[in-house]
Amino acid sequence: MTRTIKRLIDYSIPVLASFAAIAAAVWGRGQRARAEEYARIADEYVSVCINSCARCGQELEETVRAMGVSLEKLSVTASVGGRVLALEDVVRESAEAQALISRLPQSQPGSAELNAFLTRAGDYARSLSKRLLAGEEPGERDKKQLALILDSCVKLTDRLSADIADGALPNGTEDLDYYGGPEAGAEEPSEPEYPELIYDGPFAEAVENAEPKWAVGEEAAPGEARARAEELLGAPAELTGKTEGRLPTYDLTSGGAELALTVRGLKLLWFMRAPAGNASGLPDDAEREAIFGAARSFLDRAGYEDMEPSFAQYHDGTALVTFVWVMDGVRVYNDLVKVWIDRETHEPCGLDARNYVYSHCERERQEPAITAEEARRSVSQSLVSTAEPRLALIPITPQREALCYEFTGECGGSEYYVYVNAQTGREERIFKILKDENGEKAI
Amino acid sequence: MRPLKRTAAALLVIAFALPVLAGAAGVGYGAKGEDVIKIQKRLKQWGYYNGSVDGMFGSGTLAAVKNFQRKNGLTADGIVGKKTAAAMGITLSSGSTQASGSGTSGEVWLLARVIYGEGRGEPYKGQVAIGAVVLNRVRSASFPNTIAGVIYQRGAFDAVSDGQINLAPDENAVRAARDAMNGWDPTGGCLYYYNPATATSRWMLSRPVRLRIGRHAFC
Repeated sequence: MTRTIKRLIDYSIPVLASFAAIAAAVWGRGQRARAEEYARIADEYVSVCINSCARCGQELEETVRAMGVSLEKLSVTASVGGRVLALEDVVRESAEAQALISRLPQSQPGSAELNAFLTRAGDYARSLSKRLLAGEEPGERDKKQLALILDSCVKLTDRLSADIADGALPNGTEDLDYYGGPEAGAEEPSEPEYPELIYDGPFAEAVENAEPKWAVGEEAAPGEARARAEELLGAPAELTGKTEGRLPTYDLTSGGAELALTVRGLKLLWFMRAPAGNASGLPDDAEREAIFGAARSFLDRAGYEDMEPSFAQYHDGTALVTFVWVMDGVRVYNDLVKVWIDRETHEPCGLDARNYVYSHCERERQEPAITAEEARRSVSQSLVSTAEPRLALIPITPQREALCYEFTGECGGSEYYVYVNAQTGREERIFKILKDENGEKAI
Repeated sequence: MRPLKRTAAALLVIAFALPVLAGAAGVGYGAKGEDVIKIQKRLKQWGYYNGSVDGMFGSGTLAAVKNFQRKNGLTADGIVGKKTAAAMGITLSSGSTQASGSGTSGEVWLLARVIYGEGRGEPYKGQVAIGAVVLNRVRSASFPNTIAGVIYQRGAFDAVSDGQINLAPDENAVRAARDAMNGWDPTGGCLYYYNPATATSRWMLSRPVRLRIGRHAFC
């Protein structure tokens, strides 16, 4: 018996060992095949990246070249229509070039200046085309600026062509530190590579460097900020820091809320507090009124007077109401304050007044040159009016406002706001009102 | 390799299709929002559910829904569709956000994913601040002018480079994204932030810091 077992063991060991060897060989082969497959996928992926970057670089060069050509054509076009079309080509080409740049893997400081130049060139072209459409002829400064943009486009095209020929454009295979790595220079370049453009548009340098109009006056002391926070929120306040920048603020906490008061003028710039957040669905008329009332009384307390609610949204148990400043019955759409109200307690749980703080000031009173009935002629016939027209001061460019008639109406089941210039009768702006289960907003 | 790939591809398709199907058919596992709160409240009221009413359709809610369906002669698929909702005596608003983010607008969802990937564990104000930095970049001439362009700029955010952006954000991150989109900017217009404990870029470290929130310095 024991001999049989011993023999069995003697035979089974080599058999098992051979099985194990075969299994190991099969497994090893499988692993190797897998490794080869991974290597192949990796190679394929790298080549896709390199090719996609090469394509980006090539298209960028072609787009900037086309932008230069559009600017050259512009300089020899006489008609307003022709010049607007050429300028709109520049707008489109600059947008395409920006999209291509964002796909090229390079450091942010490396691409920032070029990106800013292209953004502003397009933005400037758009503002120029709007001015042409409004009947304004470009002046000497515009001609000089257009020539400078053209010059930059030509130089940029040459540089890109050379980089493509030398294989010097980034292709995603090099190590990249988004901020230029530890060795990158700390100093800003002294000589700007691209021209500075003076114009009125959303990306203009003048807008990026705008100063707040409302938060002015002497700098307040930290103790005053604390007292103001306690007065506003009715709870002991503590100073947590100071935010520097164009609009310096004292940052505080008070009764579970965080808030920022402007150092100049101690205006409430923002505050936030976690809401109870249990309410859901859209409110009925009575709740809506109660929410608006609570928001308005908080605005009064915070020094934002003569505010009127416009749109409201309902999320996470809160109501977000956008208030607009009303000057002698005219809605001033640049001076907005957003207020969040906890729908369970009807207590304010947030405020954001950045727009208001930057733009609020007394405006010059204007009388409309045309009547609402005359202005209505500029509104599309397909819009069925749903409310009486009223006057509003709306932003046309970052630095210019226009007195308009605000027409509210419906078309194809959607609601629209149409603004017609009360001096010229021109249609200036159209907003579509989006309504969903969370309230309404204008786009 | 090939069959494996095919299986993986099939699984992926199913994984992506599931939330969509669930969204079409009703409220199921992974959903969030007001409908889930309604369901949880009712199930708790009727003794099927012991968890918290948090608006998150997790495994506890799933088990409770299945149990409810079994007891009421419904198909126990764990999805609250029209029939189950009717049996519960509730109406679905279809406003629930599925795990895939339907119901939350695309940009809010993308911003929430960056906030979650970059700043979970940070104070709420710090999370809104991350969202605000993204939006300040969109408004700046020196950066791409779309939210996706800013977020996917190569190397701009660690959470994008290491894939953490693909984690499903929690409710706080979604709320922070919405607050940032609504204009809350605790940074006062900052374009950058970094963690002083780990940052090495001289360029970045040379920029004047405007404020600090949690572990991040904003400039």
